[in-house]
Amino acid sequence: MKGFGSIVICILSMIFIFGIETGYAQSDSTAGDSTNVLLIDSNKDNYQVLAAFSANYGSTNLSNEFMEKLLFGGQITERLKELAIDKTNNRNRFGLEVNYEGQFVDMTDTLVKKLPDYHYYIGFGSYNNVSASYTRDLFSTIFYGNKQFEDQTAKLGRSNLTSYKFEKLTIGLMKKDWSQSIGLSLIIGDRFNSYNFRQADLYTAPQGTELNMQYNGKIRLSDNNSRNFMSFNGAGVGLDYSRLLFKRRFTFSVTNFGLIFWARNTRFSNTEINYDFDGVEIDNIFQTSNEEILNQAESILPELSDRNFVSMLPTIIRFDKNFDKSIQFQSIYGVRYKFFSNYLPSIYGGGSFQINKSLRVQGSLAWGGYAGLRAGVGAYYSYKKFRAGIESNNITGTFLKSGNGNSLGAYAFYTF
Amino acid sequence: MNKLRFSIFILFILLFACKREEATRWNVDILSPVVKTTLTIDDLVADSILSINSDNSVDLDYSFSFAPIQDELFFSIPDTAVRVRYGFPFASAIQLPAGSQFVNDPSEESFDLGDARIEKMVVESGELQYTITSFVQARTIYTYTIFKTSNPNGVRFSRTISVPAASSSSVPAVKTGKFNFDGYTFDLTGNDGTKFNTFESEVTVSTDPNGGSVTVSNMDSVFIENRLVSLKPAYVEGYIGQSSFIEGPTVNNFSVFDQIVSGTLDIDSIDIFTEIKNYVGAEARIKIKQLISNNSRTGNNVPLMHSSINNWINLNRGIDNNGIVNPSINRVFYTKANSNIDRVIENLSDKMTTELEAEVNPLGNIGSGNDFLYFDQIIEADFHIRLPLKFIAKDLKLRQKIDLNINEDSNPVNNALVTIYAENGFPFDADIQLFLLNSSGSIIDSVMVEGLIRSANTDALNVVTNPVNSVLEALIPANKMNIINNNSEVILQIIFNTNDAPHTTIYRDNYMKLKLVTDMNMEIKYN
Repeated sequence: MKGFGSIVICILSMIFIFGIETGYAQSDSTAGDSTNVLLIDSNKDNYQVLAAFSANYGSTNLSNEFMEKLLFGGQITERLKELAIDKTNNRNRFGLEVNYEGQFVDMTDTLVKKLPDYHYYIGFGSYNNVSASYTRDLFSTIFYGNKQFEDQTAKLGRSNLTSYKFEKLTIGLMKKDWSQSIGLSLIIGDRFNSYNFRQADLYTAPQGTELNMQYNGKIRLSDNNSRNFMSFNGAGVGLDYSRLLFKRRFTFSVTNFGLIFWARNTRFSNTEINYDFDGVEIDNIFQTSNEEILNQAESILPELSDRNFVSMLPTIIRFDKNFDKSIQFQSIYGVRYKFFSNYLPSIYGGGSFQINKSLRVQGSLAWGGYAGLRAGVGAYYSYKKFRAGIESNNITGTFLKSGNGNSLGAYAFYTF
Repeated sequence: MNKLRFSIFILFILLFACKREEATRWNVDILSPVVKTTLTIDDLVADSILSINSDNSVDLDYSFSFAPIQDELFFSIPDTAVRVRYGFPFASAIQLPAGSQFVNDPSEESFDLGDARIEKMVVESGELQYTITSFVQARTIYTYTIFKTSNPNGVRFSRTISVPAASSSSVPAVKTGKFNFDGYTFDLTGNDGTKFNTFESEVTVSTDPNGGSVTVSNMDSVFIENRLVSLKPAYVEGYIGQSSFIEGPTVNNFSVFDQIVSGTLDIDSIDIFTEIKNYVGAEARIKIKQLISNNSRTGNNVPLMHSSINNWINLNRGIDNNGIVNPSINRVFYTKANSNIDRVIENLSDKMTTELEAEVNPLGNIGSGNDFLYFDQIIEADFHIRLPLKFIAKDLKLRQKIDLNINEDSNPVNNALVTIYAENGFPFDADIQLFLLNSSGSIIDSVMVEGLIRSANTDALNVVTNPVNSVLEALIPANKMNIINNNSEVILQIIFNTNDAPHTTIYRDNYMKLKLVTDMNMEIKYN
């Protein structure tokens, strides 16, 4: 019963779902606290341990309920689709980030004798990111089908779906006054799936008698049979760097600048196809099977070859204003961008209020990234040598009916 | 607050599980071609019965064999036993030196083959079973030879058996075993070459040439029992005797019209005959006692009426050309003039009931003992139909069961409007319908196909001048799709109609192009 149209839509759907069901990203935090800046009295303490996790997902057009169905299963109803299509523009984004990190800083020693002003630190992180940038036509074709495009061309191209998962083991140096740090990481690649449709024009002839696909795209897939934690489907190197600027009032940081070589059971395609489809040719209609039709239909899709490839890490660059705990109320703002992740530059701004010696809260508005305009809140606690914080960068997504994302992050560190 | 807890829960799920509780599902509307095919007569009729004429017209050349005549009906060779006792004719004990032969006994044995007088036989399979009981208290050597035999290498059948010494005068040594005769040729004319069914053999017994001398007396005996068991001949020569047998009634599958369920088929001409081949090197005769066309769908039975029915047909003997038999061939032709064969065929039967009787050497040994018989080729009777595809079809309804090999998982289509685009180059109309079945194969619903595949345009002789396009539509609602998914077998029914006159000829280059386009609502589902 399936035709080429259904095969195309099934595969597009699979790509969409496949990406979504797994996921990465470094923290989308607006809290300077988590960068440790200005909070450590390194003259008195010897060590510091830090643990942090963050998870968020968001979309420019998908509602929370829609995304929850995508992520966790369930029926995506016509009502949900209508809500989404109403908010769908020519360019839409979806992203999911889940990551956690740990770090140990030895403030008693340095690894490099020629750099006596630096401590060393070691770290571990796991990063899971799925992101998509897609046209209205692609979204509409996946969730409504191609019938709406009868005698029209659906512009599915200029869409990109990327799914990353990797771990990193870091060793780095941190200046004693915390004004600068640099770390070098071994990257362990678990998964990288990238579908870059430069062009994918699907024309549906009147009455559906013929389909035409003009496709130009690149597909890169790592080993999808084994993509668990530390599965080493790829290996690479990464670099982290941060620096305090302008009298320590701002922090500039680059995280995960690097690349991964994918070499195990990889699949690759970089092709241009112009295909007219008017039905799978079968020898004898009395002696055929659905399986035969499916096999023949799938054979006309882009052919994947075994070829190794290199992918860049989803590098994050951010510039944040630091807060000064001596000021009770102050502004916060910053900008964040993540490369190779279908990410829109994100800016945020808001205020921080020190309630008492131990407790501080802040609120902000952000725009960009995956979820458009959103509000964030955070609460931060400090007591002696312990610091902790919890925040959401999309509190509006959580509470508003029209929310289009969720976010939660937390961290804690302890010096001793 | 609930929403916040829910979100936190979701994020924890994201972090630590990333497992789906259920599949993500949504529905889409697909408009797409599915399959296309070009049907020719080769797709509609099995190649094995298609015959193409020089003008590209097509004949069906179909035959079926009457139940084969079993070789066991001629004769079988009964198991034959020979049991002898050999004693020593000495009142008092004597010494026999090593290697002394004390039995040498040639003899003739006959097979009981009834009135057959076989002079030569090639054995396909069979064996000699022996039991030797020896009271001689020393190792003895027995040799069994059948004269006038040869294996494919020309070597006579002869076997030597070593029998151990008896333990005492009252406890004999017993030796059993068997040899096979596969491929051996027997001259069954006996010692003097004038007999039949007879072979000459010899038993010799001697003391062990490598042993010592042996003391024997008349108390020492040797019992030998040889049995020729399960001899199955591949070929015999001589007079093979008189035999007769009746085969049937047998119901034979007749698949030429088994897809036709109703309608009328007016056939322009037809060659139908029964071909009888006699491979036996003896005169024979055969009688077709009945040949009945059975249409199990209508229950209508039409017996063939012809002068050959219930009358003997004499068959000359086959000729042996150095192992390759040229059979005598008799053909009995059935025409509209000499029979009711048109009614037999137009009954559109799916079964044929046949019964025949045959006799070999009905006049006795008129071949002076020069008969032969290869047991793998005896008498064959085949029913042949050579049917030019030149006919007038009126509501000729064909049904074929098709397994779509789909189920709910492989076919997530909720409902569909299937449009069939047909380009018909055949000189007939075709009306299509699909029947849906339950698990026991019974029709429980149908899918109506709106429209007709219209006949190609034809000239005055009903020869196609150009194809004609038609569009048909079939709506498959959800309830019917469920039936298909539950039981993927469907019955495709096609009703054919040709012009009334003249008879329409099918040519090999006639074709029908079909393209199926679906406008369907289907569920996308991923776990």
